Amino acid sequence: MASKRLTRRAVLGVGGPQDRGPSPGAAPSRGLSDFLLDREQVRRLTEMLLSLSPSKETVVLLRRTYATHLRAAFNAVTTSGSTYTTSVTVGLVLGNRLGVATADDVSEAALRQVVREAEENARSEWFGMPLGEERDPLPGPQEYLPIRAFFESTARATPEARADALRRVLAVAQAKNLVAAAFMTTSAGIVAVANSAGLFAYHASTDAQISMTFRTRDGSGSGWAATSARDFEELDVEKAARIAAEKAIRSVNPRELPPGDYTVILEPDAFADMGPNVTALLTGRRGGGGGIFGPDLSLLPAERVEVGKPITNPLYTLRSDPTHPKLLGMPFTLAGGGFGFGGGGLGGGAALLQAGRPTRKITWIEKGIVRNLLLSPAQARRSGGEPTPAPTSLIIEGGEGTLEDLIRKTDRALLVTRFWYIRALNPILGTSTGLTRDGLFLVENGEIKYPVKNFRFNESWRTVVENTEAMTAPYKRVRDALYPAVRTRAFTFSSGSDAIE
Amino acid sequence: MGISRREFLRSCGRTTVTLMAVEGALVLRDWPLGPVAEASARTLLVTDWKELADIALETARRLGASYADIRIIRSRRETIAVGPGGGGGFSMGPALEEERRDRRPVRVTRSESFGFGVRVLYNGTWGFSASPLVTPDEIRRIATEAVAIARANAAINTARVRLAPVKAYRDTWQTPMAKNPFEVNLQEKVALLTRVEELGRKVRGVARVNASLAFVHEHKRFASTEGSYIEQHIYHTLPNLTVTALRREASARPEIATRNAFIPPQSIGYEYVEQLKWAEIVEQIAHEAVEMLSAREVEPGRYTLLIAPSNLYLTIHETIGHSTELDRVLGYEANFAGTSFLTLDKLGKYRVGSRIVNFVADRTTPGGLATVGYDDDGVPAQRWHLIREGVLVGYQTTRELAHAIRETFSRGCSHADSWSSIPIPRMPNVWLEPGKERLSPEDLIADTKAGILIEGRGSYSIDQQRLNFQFGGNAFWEIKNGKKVGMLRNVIYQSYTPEFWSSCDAICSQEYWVNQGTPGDGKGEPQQTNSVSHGCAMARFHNITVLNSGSV
Repeated sequence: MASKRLTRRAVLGVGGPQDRGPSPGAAPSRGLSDFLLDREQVRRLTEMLLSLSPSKETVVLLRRTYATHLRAAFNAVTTSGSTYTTSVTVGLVLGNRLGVATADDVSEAALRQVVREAEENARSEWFGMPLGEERDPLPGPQEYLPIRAFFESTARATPEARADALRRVLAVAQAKNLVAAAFMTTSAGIVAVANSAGLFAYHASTDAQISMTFRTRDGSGSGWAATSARDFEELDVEKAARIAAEKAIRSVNPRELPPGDYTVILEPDAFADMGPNVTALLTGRRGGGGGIFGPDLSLLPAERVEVGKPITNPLYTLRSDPTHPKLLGMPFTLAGGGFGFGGGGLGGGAALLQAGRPTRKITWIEKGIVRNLLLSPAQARRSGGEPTPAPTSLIIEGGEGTLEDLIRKTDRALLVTRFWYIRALNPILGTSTGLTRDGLFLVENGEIKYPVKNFRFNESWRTVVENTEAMTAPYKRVRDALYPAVRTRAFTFSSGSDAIE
Repeated sequence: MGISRREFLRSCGRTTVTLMAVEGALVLRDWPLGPVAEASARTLLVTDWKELADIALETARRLGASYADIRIIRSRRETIAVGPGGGGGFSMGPALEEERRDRRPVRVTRSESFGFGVRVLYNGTWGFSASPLVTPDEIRRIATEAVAIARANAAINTARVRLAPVKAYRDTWQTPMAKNPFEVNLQEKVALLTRVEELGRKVRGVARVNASLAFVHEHKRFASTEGSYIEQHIYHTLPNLTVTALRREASARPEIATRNAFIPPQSIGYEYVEQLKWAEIVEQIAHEAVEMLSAREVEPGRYTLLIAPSNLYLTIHETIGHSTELDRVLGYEANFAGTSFLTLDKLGKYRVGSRIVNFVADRTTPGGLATVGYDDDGVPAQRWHLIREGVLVGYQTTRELAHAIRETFSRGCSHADSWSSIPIPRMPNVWLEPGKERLSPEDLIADTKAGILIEGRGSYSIDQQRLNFQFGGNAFWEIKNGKKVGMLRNVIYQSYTPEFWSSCDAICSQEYWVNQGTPGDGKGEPQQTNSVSHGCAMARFHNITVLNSGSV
């Protein structure tokens, strides 16, 4: 499903700090400009790493991140800091065995050593990983979607600018006589993949996130809100603060309702954390985290999932779009497919050799019907199909309107702001447990009526999906995916909790 | 399985390799980043660390910081695993799992991380910055950035940090141990695990055995403007053993059961691995795994529970360990980990448990995963009561927190999980003191008319004030008329912290106290991990709600 209108710029990769900074070799490393290596610096580094390798099958992953954080509690700043991190991973194949090694700086000595260690690991029975007989060749040069996810406003946000954003949050809390705790992060990073088949991929991105919990002074109410933006200037901290304040004030003196089955409206964060296991849906597995068992121990009946056949609630459409302006995700994967939400994780293993494959816009499930299945290159070869890209930058959709619209159309439901301490109960059934937190309200006749004491739930994500009867348009990025709020029937709350703040 | 000469060299010669790399750096030209680019991170090998530390402290002081500290940390980890490997770490379809399966019968990984972090106080406000490049220039730059961050935040701050006084220490400390695990031949470790794996697989019905050893070494150098220069070597040894039993029947879904030995992870050397009775342990849990295949479903209801240390440690961690963290009580963690039901007004008065329930916080006892010489504020390790005869009598504090409960010194609970993390208040070891009268687990079983015995950890979840919790386990036995009468499955227990500990009427004695613990205590934003021990002996609890996790 790759776009036919890829520009040359897209082929070269886009975004990133490549147009500024001193030319290589000019000055000693001083601060962020030199730290976030530009495309040409990275290309030279990776070329050197590849040239040092004794193998014709070598892949290099380079990642550098500058991350800042700023915390507040009881309306004051608590801890704050910044971190520079680097990782250089080299994977190389010798005698059908993969050796991998990682370094944490890009000095010449470190790079020479990391190649040497990868080589030693490839030659070692214990450190190296034997590869299957018919493994895929390294992917060659690729075309990538144009995704501009790097914003100078975020990378260059000064400590003063970050402090000012937090000050505006605290001001909202203080104006309402509330006690605020908050956590804000910014990050700017580059990531690159190169291999000995000529693939080179470079991506730069920034991100800014803030979450906050406002409590009433007497500890009888608590409200939470969070927001994020790639562009620091678009991080709407005041809007989030107003939501947190409203929830805190509205949650005072909650009423106790009996445990039992309720219709619930799950706000995006609650829905995301409870989580439909999308990978399980796409591969037709009925379990939650069953991957620990090999086929010899598999508990899962070989349920065939076929393209064109229904798989889930017809309200649900699930697609990947790394170019979506609210996501601006990765244009390529770092391991053969960082499957699962979040995607793009740094896989060990043979999947590393497939790093740098492009991500694409693709529809997985349309109104409950399977449109595309996850197919790795090897699976595709066996089944005669086309390999599909990793399911990154997911969008869950099927409804329209806002959360307010959904509330207005609801006769009776409990509105859940977020969950806390979710843990799997039974991986075969896909059940988990957890608690509501920082804003649980009864909605009746289209209005929020009163706050409700927190509950523990014992429920499965499959039930949540199958019992969904309405949803909003997707509007909130949580981690790497875009979520709606959903309304779902017969959600099981098993016990109450007095915890408020 | 032989070991090559190369592997032998790798297992003992890493420092040499590093030194050679530094020399190599001097001769290469045409470096992609230019001649100066980045100096080697291995500067420490040729420089006195105290001189590097002083650069940070002096830079911060010159820029107006009232306090500064630096941690230069090298941490390394080795894991050796025997038994069928998992997939690539992601949850994928069975076919993909198979493609990514690591087929090696023996898997060894080593990792190392090295860097430094500088923390400063400017006008009563924290600032921090960290880098993996341990060079004088970089230390100056990072200290400057830490002050810049603190100064910007001080301008909007409404509260000022006050640090409890601490003496200046010039000291070195090392985990007490007889045998450095990183100096033990790799072949010996592999041979041990291979033997254990083979023993387990001999038991009929066992499908797989996974045995592993992990070793952690943290070399931490700390200096502060109080005048302290403290160097510590902290070692952890973490064995793990699981057995999976499988029964296939033609018509039904195959039954599967996994039993974990829960060998306590300890702050100790390789002698611990040598002293473990591996053969007994693996045979016992292999038989139990097979028996678990036929375990009965538990009937939901109210039960008397006998909880073994391998399960109780995590209940202690979640209900008592976290609720007595003073930063939580004060609201520092309100946005993520939550607060605590043990509010300040309850100190010295509030009954958390029955009179036999005593909890001690401790960073001094050998073996504890949180046992150190000094914390990350440079405060010496201590031991004190949190709960005495069921009543709240103490909290966990740091230099920043002590004044909130009018204490004049810190209890030494500051910890950063790596060079790149800012120190935050973290849990010390929290022990449940053993019962005073001699009482064995067998005695306790014999004394119980009806109940459930719980071993090992399972699912666990607790609310943000640490009241409503719901925990599973790994293996369960029904107890009837003082005897174990067969295994149960899918047991989860749900209760409220004070109700639970108040129902405790018996704790086994010192001889049966086990130093259980976890390396996976999570807290803070950005989240950090911590390793803590929660030694305890088997204890009995009455009238606790039990659910069946397969039918909730």
